[in-house]
Amino acid sequence: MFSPVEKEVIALGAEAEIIKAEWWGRDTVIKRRIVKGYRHPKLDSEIRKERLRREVRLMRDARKAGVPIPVIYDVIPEEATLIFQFFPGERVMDCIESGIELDLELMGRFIGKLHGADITHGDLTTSNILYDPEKKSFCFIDFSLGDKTTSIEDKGVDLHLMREALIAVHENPIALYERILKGYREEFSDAEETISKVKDIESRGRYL
Amino acid sequence: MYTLGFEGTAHTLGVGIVDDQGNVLSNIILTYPATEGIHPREAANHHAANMSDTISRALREADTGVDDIDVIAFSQGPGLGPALRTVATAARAMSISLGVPLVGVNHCIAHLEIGRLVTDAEDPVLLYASGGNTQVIAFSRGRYRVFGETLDIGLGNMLDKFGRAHGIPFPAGPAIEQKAKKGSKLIELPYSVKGMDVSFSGILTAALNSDEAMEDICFSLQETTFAMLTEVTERALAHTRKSEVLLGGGVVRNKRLRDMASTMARERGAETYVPDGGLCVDNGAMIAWTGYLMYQAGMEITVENSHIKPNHRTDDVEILWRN
Repeated sequence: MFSPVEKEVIALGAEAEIIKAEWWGRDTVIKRRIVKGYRHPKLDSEIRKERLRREVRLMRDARKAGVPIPVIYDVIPEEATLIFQFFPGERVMDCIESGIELDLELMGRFIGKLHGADITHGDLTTSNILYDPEKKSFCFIDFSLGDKTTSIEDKGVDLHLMREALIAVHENPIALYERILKGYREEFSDAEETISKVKDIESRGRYL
Repeated sequence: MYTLGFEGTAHTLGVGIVDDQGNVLSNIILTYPATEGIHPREAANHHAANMSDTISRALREADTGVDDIDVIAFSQGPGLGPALRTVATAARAMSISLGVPLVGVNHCIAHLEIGRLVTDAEDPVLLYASGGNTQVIAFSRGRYRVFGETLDIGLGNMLDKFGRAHGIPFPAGPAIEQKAKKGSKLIELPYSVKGMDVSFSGILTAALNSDEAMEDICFSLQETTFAMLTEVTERALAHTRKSEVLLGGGVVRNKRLRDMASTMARERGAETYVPDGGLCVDNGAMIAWTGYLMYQAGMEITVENSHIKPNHRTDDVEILWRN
């Protein structure tokens, strides 16, 4: 009863496994950073603990800045495990694909708030933002590549990743991107500088 | 149909000949004997002084005459300007005097293409670690994309700088590997993976300032930097959903790095491939083979357009020979 009942593996990334579970009658998600056999055991356990700490810190800061994130239920450093609220929604990517109306300007405002608080996400794509069509609410997930930084370049990389993600899968990417930027500009004072940085980053032709 | 390739991005002069079936007929590698690192001008002088001998040896070993060469390829970049210019000059001269097409090859891509040729890897993620270059590269949407790279210096360069401060002759990697075998204590060094990229300068400073036993510093240097590269390689595998890891470059001769990469691959159900000795380090055969592929795809260049590209980026090259 005290430990979560694991139900199914939702995702298996390079770094962590994401498991859907039930805990005290609630739907929860367990994110567990996997032990890497190639790494020195001491280094491995330090890295996993440190990444967990960093992720929790960024999630907390994002929440303070007014960006919706899942509620954290528990942090277990020894097991490099994070337990948080299961968000009943779909990836923004899938919502756009299936024609669900989304307030992309609002999503852009959240990205603006994130950058205004000097938080970069590090992997800001339409797969890492969830949307609940019933409550019309967003949820930002997976901050494991994020950072606390004032760097316009790093914030530009976030926008660039978003733009690339839209272009890769959606039909009308530029219009979608512009709607996001509209909200972004309203919320973040360095928006213009960051947006123009995206062109620099693109010309270097990397960051997929 | 024979292609002759020149490699000269750094301290290695390489001349190799391949046929159109992908047989490596010769692969002569001559290394400028630096003891304290590479001086670009001296490396260029070394290449110039040994050029005609090396070409003759390559032809002799391939059992072919100079008139049988149908295409000339050369390493156009990235690399040290003086060294690049020297081999480019030789390549242009040969192309003009024989009246055969000239192709400029990206050195990093050549490491990947030779791996695809001589190992069973078909569509791998390449972990390429040498003195000057440290990149994780894979084919995606028409290009070889860089999925991670060093933000400052190449891994080999970092090891060499550490070695030079401790009187270890260039290249320092092999001696560091031997010392590391006797080390066992993990010293804390800044593990710097930033997103998909790595950086080594902070680790170098920390290692240089450490007063721990030399064996333990070497051990920790390897454990830390190799784990960083392996992690970035795994991310690229997960991102691209590929299932092959190819290793290339001088630093991957290190057994510990190979072991880490193959352990990671095994844990993910992927395979690891390493080209044999002379095809894993800088060499002319890989330039020849990639040059042949490029020639087949219509990518020959005129002498006027054959300027060297010291900062040539992997993802600048349109990959017309792959679908």
